[in-house]
Amino acid sequence: MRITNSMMSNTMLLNLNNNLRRLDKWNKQMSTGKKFTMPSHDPIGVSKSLGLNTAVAEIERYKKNAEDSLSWLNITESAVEDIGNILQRARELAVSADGTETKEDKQKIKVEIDQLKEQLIKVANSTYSGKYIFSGYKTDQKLLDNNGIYLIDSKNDEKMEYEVGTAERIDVNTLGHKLFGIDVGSLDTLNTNEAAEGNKAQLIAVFDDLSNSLDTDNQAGIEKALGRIDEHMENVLQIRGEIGVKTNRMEMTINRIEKDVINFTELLSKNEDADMAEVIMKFKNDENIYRASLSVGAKVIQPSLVDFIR
Amino acid sequence: MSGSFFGLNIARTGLFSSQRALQITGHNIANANTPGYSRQRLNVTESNPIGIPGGQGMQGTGVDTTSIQQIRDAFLDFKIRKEFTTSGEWEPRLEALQQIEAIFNEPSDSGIRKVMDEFFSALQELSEGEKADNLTVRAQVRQRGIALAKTLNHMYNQLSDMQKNTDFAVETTVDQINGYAKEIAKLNKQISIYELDGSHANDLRDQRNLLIDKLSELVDIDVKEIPNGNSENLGTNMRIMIGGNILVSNENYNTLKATPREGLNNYLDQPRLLEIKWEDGTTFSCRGGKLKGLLDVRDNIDGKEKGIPYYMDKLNKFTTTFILRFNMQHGSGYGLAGAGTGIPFFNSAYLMKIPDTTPATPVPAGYKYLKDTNGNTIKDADGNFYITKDIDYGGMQYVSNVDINALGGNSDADIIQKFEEKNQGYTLFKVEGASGSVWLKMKIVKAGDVDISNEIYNNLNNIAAGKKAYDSDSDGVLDSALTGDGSNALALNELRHDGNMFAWGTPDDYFKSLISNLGVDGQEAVRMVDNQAVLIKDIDNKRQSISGVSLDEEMTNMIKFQQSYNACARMITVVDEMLDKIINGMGVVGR
Repeated sequence: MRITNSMMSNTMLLNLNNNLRRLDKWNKQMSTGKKFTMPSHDPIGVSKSLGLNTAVAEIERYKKNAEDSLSWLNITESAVEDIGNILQRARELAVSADGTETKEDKQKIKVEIDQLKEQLIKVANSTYSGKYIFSGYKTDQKLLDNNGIYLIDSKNDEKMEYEVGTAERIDVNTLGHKLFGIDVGSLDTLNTNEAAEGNKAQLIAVFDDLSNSLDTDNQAGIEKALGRIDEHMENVLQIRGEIGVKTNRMEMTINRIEKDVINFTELLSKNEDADMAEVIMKFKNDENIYRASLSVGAKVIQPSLVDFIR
Repeated sequence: MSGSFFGLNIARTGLFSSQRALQITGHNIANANTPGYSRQRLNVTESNPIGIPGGQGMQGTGVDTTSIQQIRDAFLDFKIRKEFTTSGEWEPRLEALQQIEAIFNEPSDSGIRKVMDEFFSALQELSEGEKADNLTVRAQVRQRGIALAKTLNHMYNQLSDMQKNTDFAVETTVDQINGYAKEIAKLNKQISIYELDGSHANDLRDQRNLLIDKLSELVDIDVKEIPNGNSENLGTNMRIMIGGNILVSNENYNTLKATPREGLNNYLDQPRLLEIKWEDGTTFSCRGGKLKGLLDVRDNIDGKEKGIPYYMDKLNKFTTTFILRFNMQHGSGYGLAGAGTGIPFFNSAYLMKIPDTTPATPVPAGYKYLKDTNGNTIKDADGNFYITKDIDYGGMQYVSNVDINALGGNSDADIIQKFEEKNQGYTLFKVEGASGSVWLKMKIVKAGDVDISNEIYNNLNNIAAGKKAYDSDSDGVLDSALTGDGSNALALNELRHDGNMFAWGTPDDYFKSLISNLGVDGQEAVRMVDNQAVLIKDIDNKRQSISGVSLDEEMTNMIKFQQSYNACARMITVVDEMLDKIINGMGVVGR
């Protein structure tokens, strides 16, 4: 093949350009720290990257949800714990009013029982950042009035659900009627059915009845109240247990999510982050090639017969 | 018997031909770097000999210059032009795809993915019952919704602008083609005048070849050079055709004309895009070159050569289905403080689902019940009604099951695709009705037009976070969500994981598919352009190998011709000395 001057310079230009383009590629990877910056660099890598980024964003949101649910559960738990303590104290008082006590003593006990009842109503209207926690969806309304009458309908389906994973939900709120029951008919059987506005809370009714029995020195009434309080204590304990289990579950969920975040971030990094050592090696390698081609080019182009004709 | 001065004459022809050869060498050297230049060579032959009587044979009379010939291979010209056409077609495509990649702006921290992530994250927060009535959280949902709409607008508008700019490039390219045609025709005239006597218009031919090379990048051309009559001396007729129509015929040429189109090719086209025709109104078609690349980029909505409309269409279809589904779910919930139900979140409410717990509620103003072809109100399996509203984009129509069967699709995706092929500007949408699924057709919403609705824009309470309603103003109608109810926000969130929303899966999957499609197309374009560059380089090298100027070679020739010149001059001196002897040195015997 006949070689001409312009062929040589064209070929050299093309090769120089190719070398420079490779340098540019490594340079881009070094300065951005990413293997690709455009879909056409690596379509599969990019779509993986999109998915992983979304997954990370989602699980971070789930973590926040789980943490929020934990605060709600903690507040609820401490309120339920208060109820338990109140019931415990009421039980002790009822036991101490065992028939040997004088009427005056029972009067004193009654005063404390009344105080406890008031406390119970306060707890029923506990708030968390301004929201009534036992009022279901009606977070802006009190559950009970001062006499222990339901101010709102308390419905079973008013569950506050937090999403803590794809299609994984936890209901965080405890409904008032589950804790306080409703007083329809007998006080002897625990009734935690849905409450309608105007119903009296069963637990408050039990306290009222006890207070009344103490007031009238009705020993049989006091005995009865003991059994009723026990039943409610059982119920409250069970609810507290449930909350405890949920709290536990959320703590585990948060732990798991934290691990997920690490795992997904790692996957993301593996997928899209440039390996600096490798990139720098390749850059240096290509830089050498570029330098070599430059110096060869300088030598190739210059001399021709022209230089040697006198 | 030859004359005394015969030798002088022979040497003179040598001197002249060497001189001319040297001049041509100089011309070659001077044009070593001229684009399109083909090296030239002096063709020489022995001049006619004269017979010597007496059977002694022929006596040579020196050298004759016959022609100045350029050295080139026409087949390589043909081959390289084919490759120019292909690379000309792929270059604008590559450029466009890279621009679209920049518009979609993925992967990045500000692309649609991020915006969607943030939008859904805000909804998640709203779904936490405790925050369902929190105005800050609501404002955040609204803001993220605006951001999503604006991102879609922005992408659409940029694609739209790009289409306009491509249209301008089409016009420029047409002008360029016309310009080349005119110049080539002019050169043709000069060449044919010059070559009438059988000589070669080498330099003019070089110029013409260069122009044809450039033209071949713009459009697919057939070049033919036909001799005029039988004699070589009558010159040639050169003809350039595009798709069977004559662009240039010797000294005549036809021009292309770009005129604004009356209708639209695609529903999302800019109005009055340019259509290319021949000046006389004949339909123009091209199968390659930059012009084809640009037209594909500007016009192609599907197929292999996807252009801007394809991506606009995909963006629109995403927008239409996504916001409609979102509105449907949103509208079935309740806002705060008596805000009620049936409120669209985005400004495109073709369809709204309202629960049957509110049959007593009059349908919100401007809405009507959706009915099937038999006039029955459509209900879903949960007993919700569908209500529709005509906003700016026109109404929606019910498509009967029979029509779906007529489409003959096998899967949902197949049905949708077949429908869209036949009904441009519309898409199909499935809702689960009480008696099986119901297909609805709707007009496609342009991503550039989407925004959040005025209701949401003006009043944060209108964000329907809750599903459960109560009667806020005691008029016997349930009209407001409970403050702690975030269950509808939760349901809105679930849309993100609805794998049946699109043929490509979830909303996230949709964008993932779109972006990787774009990436694959981009990759192909990069590969094609690179490969073409190598091919062209290769053929060009072959061409250079034949036609290019080698300085070493020219230098050698220069010395060769110079020496030959010197030798001829010496020959003249010899003859001169001979004559001197005859004239001045003879007949002086004994003097």
